[in-house]
Amino acid sequence: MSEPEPEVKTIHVEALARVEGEGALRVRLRGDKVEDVQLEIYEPPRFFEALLAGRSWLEAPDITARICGICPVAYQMSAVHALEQVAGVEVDGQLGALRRLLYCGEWIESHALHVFMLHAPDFFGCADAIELAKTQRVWVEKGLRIRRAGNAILALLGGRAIHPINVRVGGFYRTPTRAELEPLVPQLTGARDEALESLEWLSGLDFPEVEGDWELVALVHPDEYPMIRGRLGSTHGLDLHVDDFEEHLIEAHVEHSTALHATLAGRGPYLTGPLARFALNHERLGPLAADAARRAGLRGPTRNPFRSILVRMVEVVQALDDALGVIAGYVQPPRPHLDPAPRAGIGRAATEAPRGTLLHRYELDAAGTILTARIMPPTSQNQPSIEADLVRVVEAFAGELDDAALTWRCEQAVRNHDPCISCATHFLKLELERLP
Amino acid sequence: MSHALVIAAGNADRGDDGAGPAVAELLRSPEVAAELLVPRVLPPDLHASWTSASRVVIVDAVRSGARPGTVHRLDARAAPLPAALQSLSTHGVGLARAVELARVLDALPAELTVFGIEAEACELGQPLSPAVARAVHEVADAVRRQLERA
Repeated sequence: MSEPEPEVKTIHVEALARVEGEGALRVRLRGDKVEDVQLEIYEPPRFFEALLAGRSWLEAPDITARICGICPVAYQMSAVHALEQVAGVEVDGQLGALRRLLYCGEWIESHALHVFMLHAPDFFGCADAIELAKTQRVWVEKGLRIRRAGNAILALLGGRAIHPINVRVGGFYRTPTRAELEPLVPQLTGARDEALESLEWLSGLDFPEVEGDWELVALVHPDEYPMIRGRLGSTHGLDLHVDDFEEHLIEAHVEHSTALHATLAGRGPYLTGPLARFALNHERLGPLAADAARRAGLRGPTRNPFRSILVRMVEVVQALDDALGVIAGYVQPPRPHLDPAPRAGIGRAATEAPRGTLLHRYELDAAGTILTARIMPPTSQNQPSIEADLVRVVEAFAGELDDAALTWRCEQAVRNHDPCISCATHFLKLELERLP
Repeated sequence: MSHALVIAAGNADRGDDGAGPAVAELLRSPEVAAELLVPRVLPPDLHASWTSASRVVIVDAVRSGARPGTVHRLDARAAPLPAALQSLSTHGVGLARAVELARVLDALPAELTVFGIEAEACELGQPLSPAVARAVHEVADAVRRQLERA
């Protein structure tokens, strides 16, 4: 007599909560074995790459900022650096420092939102931040204040907190005076103290024991914790100039998602984001963040995706500390921007968005018109690894958790990576069929 | 002193999501004695925007399943907002959540009135639908009356 077929069970979450944008999740189990996992991204594609074609290169930072309301600075930074590469100019000195300051503001704001409002409720069995605030009120309030400190940087330097408008090719439209930056200091210093306290609070959470075997990919720079520059490195020996990214990071369409799926050529899925940045660069954290990481139990790279909440908080400390450093050394530059002349060519750049590496490529003509644009957001790169995580989580916990708890754990496994679904759905694939 | 604040949220380029900004336009007049905020989405710490205001009015497009153009007028101090009263953005925290978080944090103003305008369609680049355009005038008048009350 043959053994009875194990029962097939489907976990389906129709609308994922506490993620950016709209997505769903489908897991098919046979017994305790996972047969299929799909992170379904059904938010409609948004065609940004096609939208850029034919526009002036000077418009790119403002158009791409519209891709995401949470990480617009990342889009602006990858765009201007790629475009400046075509023009053969490098924006450094105080203008470069101001760009780092602006990017710090985004890391602080985006990470604080994810840590306190989206991710922390998972660890307390709460449906959302409102429920969390009933028992952990003081921490939710701290989180909101930390987030506000990041927003204050964006509002001042970017012109407004959402979709900033002050970044341009060559620098900024306007730079702040020293006196304008000074009032940020007490707010950022307070937020830094609260971030350190919050990290201690978070380090006492209960983390499910799971480890991912992903290849971790991030920018690596010899002198700094990476944000704006560096080579692409990985835990498995990848070491690439950003110019070569298209030969190695391959995107493909899959049926269940309006976002592309990326893999490393010849190697498979990989993961970008805080876990990857920390694994490859923790030795280049500033002393304050490095010490805070150690005290939070992060003595080296961690492969437990649930612990990403700790790494995000370490990065918040780093960004606040960095921001204060930039302000302390600030001297208003004589001119708000360089005046690079357009020329024909191709430029590529990668920067570290809060949720992972963001790659841009632009092809310009001699007048500075964008001929083609390519944007690889972190979430489409991470999607295959998030699906692999789901398989791991389901197989590790299917035996011990009931269906409701297992579904909840699956949602957590997705939120661990702070996916930004709206970012991931901007591509346009057009197929033209000619009939005789 | 009772400083008044009107928060009229939404994206004016997105069909009926522009209801909030449209109400704000009708309230831009020297006779309206209130500060006016027009955020595209409601932030999670909405309460930080009314720290110096004791009377607050929020206007936002919502989707609860009611007939398009329906105006939901709620006294948020009196009872929690129904969870079904969702803002239209998938990015912000949403109207009900922002208000309920403020309630849990004991950060509600002395007076908080919410006007939710039931949306029909929110396509990019489209104008307000006729029912919502009518409701916008109705809400602007109601907000004026609310602010005139002693």
